[in-house]
Amino acid sequence: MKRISYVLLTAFLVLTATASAQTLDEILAKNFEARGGLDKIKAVQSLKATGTLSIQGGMMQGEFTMWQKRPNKLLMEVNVQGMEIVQAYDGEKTWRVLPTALGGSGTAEEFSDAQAEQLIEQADMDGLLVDYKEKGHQVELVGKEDMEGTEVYRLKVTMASGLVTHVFLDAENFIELKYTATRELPGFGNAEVDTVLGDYKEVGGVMVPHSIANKVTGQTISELIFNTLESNLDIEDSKFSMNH
Amino acid sequence: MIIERTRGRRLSFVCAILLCVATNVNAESDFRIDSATFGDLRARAIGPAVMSGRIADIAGSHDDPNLLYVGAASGGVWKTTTGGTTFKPVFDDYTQSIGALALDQSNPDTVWVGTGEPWTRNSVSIGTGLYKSSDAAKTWKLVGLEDSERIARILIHPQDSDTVYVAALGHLWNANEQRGVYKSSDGGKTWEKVLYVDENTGCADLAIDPQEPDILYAAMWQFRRQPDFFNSGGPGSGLYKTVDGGKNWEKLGNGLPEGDLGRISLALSPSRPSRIYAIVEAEETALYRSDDSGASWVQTDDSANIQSRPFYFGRLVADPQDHDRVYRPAFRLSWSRDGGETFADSTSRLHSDHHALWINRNNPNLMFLGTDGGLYVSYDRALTWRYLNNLPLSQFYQVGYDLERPYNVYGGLQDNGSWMGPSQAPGGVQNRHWRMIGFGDGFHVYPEPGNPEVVYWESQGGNLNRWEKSQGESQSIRPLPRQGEPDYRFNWNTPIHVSPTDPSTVYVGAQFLFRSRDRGRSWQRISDDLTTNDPQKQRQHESGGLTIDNSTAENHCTIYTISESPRDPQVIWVGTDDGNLQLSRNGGMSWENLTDRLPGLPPFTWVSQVRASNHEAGTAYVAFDGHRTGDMATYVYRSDDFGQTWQSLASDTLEGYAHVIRDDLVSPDLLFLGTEFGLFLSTDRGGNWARFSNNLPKAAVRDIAIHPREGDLILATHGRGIYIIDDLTPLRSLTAEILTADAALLDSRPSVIRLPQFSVNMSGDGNFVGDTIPSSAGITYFLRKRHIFGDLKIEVYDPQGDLLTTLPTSKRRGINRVNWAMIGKPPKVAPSPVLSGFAFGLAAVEGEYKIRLIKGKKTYEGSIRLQAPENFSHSAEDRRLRREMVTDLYGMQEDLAYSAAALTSVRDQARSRSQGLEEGDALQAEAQAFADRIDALHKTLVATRKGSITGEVQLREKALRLYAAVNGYSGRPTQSQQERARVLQAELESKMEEFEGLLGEELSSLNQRLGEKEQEAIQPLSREDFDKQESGSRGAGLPRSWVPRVLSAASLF
Repeated sequence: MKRISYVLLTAFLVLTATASAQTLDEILAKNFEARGGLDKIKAVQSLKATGTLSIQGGMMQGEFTMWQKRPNKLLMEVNVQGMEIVQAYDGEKTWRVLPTALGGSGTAEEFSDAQAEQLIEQADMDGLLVDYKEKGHQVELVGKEDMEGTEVYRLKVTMASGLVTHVFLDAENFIELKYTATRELPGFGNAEVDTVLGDYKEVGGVMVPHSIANKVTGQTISELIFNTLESNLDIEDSKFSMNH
Repeated sequence: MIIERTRGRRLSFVCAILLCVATNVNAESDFRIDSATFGDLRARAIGPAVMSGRIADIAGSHDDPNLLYVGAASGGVWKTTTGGTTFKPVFDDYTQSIGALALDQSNPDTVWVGTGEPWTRNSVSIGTGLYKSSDAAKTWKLVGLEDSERIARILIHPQDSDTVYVAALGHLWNANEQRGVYKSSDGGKTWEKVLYVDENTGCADLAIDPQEPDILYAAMWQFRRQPDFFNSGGPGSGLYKTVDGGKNWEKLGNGLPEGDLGRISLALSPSRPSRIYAIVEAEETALYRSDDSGASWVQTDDSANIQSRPFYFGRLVADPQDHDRVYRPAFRLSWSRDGGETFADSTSRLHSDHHALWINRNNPNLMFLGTDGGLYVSYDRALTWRYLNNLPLSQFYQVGYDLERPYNVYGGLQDNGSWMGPSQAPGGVQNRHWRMIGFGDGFHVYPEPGNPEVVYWESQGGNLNRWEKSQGESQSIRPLPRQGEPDYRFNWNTPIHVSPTDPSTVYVGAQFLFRSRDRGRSWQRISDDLTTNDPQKQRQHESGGLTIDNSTAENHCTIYTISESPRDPQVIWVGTDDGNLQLSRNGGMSWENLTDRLPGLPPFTWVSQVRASNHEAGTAYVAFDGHRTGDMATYVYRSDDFGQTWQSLASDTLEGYAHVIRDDLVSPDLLFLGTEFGLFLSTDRGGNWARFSNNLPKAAVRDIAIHPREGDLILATHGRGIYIIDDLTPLRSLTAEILTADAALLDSRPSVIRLPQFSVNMSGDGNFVGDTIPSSAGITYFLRKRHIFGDLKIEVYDPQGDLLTTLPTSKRRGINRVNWAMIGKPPKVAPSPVLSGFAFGLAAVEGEYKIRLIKGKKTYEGSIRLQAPENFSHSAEDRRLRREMVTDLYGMQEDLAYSAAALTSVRDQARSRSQGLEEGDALQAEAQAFADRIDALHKTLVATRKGSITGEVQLREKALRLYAAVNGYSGRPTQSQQERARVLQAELESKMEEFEGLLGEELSSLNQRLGEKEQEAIQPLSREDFDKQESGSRGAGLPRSWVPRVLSAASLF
């Protein structure tokens, strides 16, 4: 009896040891698989999403619409209490429409700040990890750690731009749970920004998060819920350009 | 099960069996709570920083005057990059007792923290070794000296960052070998003990020659503390020198005092390294100076501030540029300008008791001073000082509360008196909210339950007082010995206990227990000596060693803790500092010593707190603390049979010697334990424990109170002020059943509906502002695992059962909390350049709101209750009237918004048609005239003049002001407001008539003629379509300052 349990124990230890000693490549492969596979991910040519934006527990609410097109075009419209904000990246430049009440000009204008950088980062259809070498990013497996009681792998992505974003993958499902980056934010200074992803659902064969919470230094600033998400719609390139 | 689901598919049969084994292990562990179980529940810091707390060391950058680190005696490490305007804690996950800091000047991202304060007073905490950060204090690594207990100095070789010297002071209460001078030559990877005297002697100070860094001086100190005694000095003490980087050491003399020495403070003049100053504790403590690198010494000054409390004031600081100038931070700050021959005192208004002084090498006018009451900065070489009141390092002992709304928190602090402050305030609790009640060292401070006019407070050694708030006077109510009685022995921290069953009854303990039925005006002695009364432990008059130091801190054989059972006032528990646990079951007529009934407890272990259960008269919880004999174990026990048998509740999860253990007021299964290293919770009466660390640093939790009305947990930390965990209801509902469910909605206390409160804080960024409670309703639920796939939503239904809103959710393992603002959508407001009033939505009404938690395909139902503030004086009729009026005015705004939208749309269409017609066509002029009339009407509805402060007021502006005014007060609208509403309503109706006339017959006749000219008809916006437009301009005039901040952050995703 003792002997059997010893054998079982050893086998179990070996098993868990193999299971936990993951290399970066294995983890990335599992991540792509968890998201639906590289084929499916790359088959998504465009995305359109609509949803609601909730700020400070619903003190303010609004709607957003987001258009995205391969390889890296992105346009976001946010409407909060009558104020329309547009932020877009046409693949070359970032532009926005910011109401005067928020310090903008009220008309379309180019901008380049930390938010613009974030927008460009966001515009990558496939996310930071797919084809990271070709994109000039470096990815490092920092290790396995605890995130709010859930085991995660932490990957450190040093982007071609030099900016660093940490990606947290669920250790069980290998799906992205959180991005963390230190960025300069107006009114906050150099602050740690968390983007927490959840409510994954399949869109065109790809797992896509349907809830995104933005936290700055740990405090939830805004939460987005996607109500509709459609892929491979025909979206004109001009949609993303400043003078459309 | 967890493992099966994820990896099971491809596993062979054998593996499947293995997994079953693993599953069973997992299933058991699912019942266990851990730190993640507490999820979103956060401890909230209310400070204060008004008196701050003891600073042990300071290290700044000489090149960047804005960069500075502050090490607190028991409040961690704080970093400023703004020259002290703002500070951030950077060491919250580690030991909060700091001994020494070092910043690598040639590589300022490298910071060293030696834990364990070297200022060895009775209340000092302990360290856990040496830590290093290589990324500017973002992350830390423990690099050794784990058993050193306290570190007095860290010196980095000025030319080689990898060579580091550490003064390890070692254990205070017992012998140990990890003490002396340590050296690393590889950046902290390995350590060599280069100077060691014996297991009773540590290194108290180190100095390095910046020009010849192989030359160092080390002050070795023999010292020992016991629960009842302190000794400084002995044959182990001495001053040593090395000239070869620690390989060989020479003991220095030649002018230094003969005989046993005590603590020595060192200062080497960087501008002339052969000049060394040393305060040497001896029979005659004095300052000595050497001008030949320690070869010979002359005695200079021996004034009071030089001699004062060498064990506590161990610093001497040389001016970096002037070798004749030397500073002595001690009881006061004094300095010499003549090589230590004479000293002058700083006359500034500084807190006494100084432990750290940091001077910028490049600008010796700039200096930071660390005291028992926080941090000061001087820009003029110590002539004047600015206090930095943004470090919440307050060192509380005990905590109390009253029943005001909001309730106040009371507490006593190390060297900082007794204070009270509000548990919450609009915009956050700030320093200005706190009020000082009593002086000296503060400990127990309690108001009389239900009568905050009467507050008991004390200073050290039993100086008990009753403060009468409205009189502004305190009466000393210390019991005094009567004829034939011995002197009363009061502990440094004398227990005051207000009866939980009779508000005017109060207890106080010396060696005897006293009870007063009349607020301390008379006392009844209700016990004999309850201590061991061991004369060997009553030597406080001789305590101190070479320098007698009898501050009452070593008073011993005293009562330390008292607890009357809330279930039966005849049941009184008492614990003493010399290890006696006593029980009376007849109101003090007779006592039983239960000390030998506690399994596994070493004899004479200090009883840190005994607490009668809130649920059963026979149940009590008791915490013992042996750290003053070097025993750092956690001792916690429960008895359910009036102390006849005891069960140890200790477990491996627990860390730190125990200060307080108690049960919840509502759930008998829920226990709270405060130790030197934090807060621990149990949901099964102590069967298993989990650390609570959400926003709570690893500070000593000295006392725990539970507010009976709010259900808040109030924590007195010794070094980080007061923390509050709001609303224990979710924790109270964590049963084993819920802990094993996939998901469950948890109860919360009723949420109070409050109108938005405003606070203005224009005091800049340099003041501490505590966290306040959210103005939203909390919806709490439990998830056994993190939610990743599929929907997780919260739906809120109003008391009529209609869906009000769907909320985004938190998805973490454990307790999740979602906030609902309890406020409806703001009204749609017609666009205008004018900003006026706050058009918030309507507050939710009181009542029961159904909650549905939708997780994938499963739905969980529960409810939350919304209630009005309990001290509301508005009658139901007044509130009904107000609500009706606000609803009407809300409707008026929407009507106006619709009218304005319809008018501008018709106007613009008419203008466009007019332009489309041929020049000279009569219809063109007609369409233009029609557009002008529409525009004229619009201009009477809405202010349209450009510019945001034109002062133009039209119907919209009038109605908006009235809406904001009525919506901004919960009670009956004024008569004037009611009349005004009718006037505006009539005005609106007449405008609407005009509007309907224009858009009715006139428009159809115009459209008919447009049709004849093959022009498209003008389409007025229908109300139906307008109401569908969710993105209308809601809530005009939102506070502009916070919208951009929040929105700009929100739009990042």
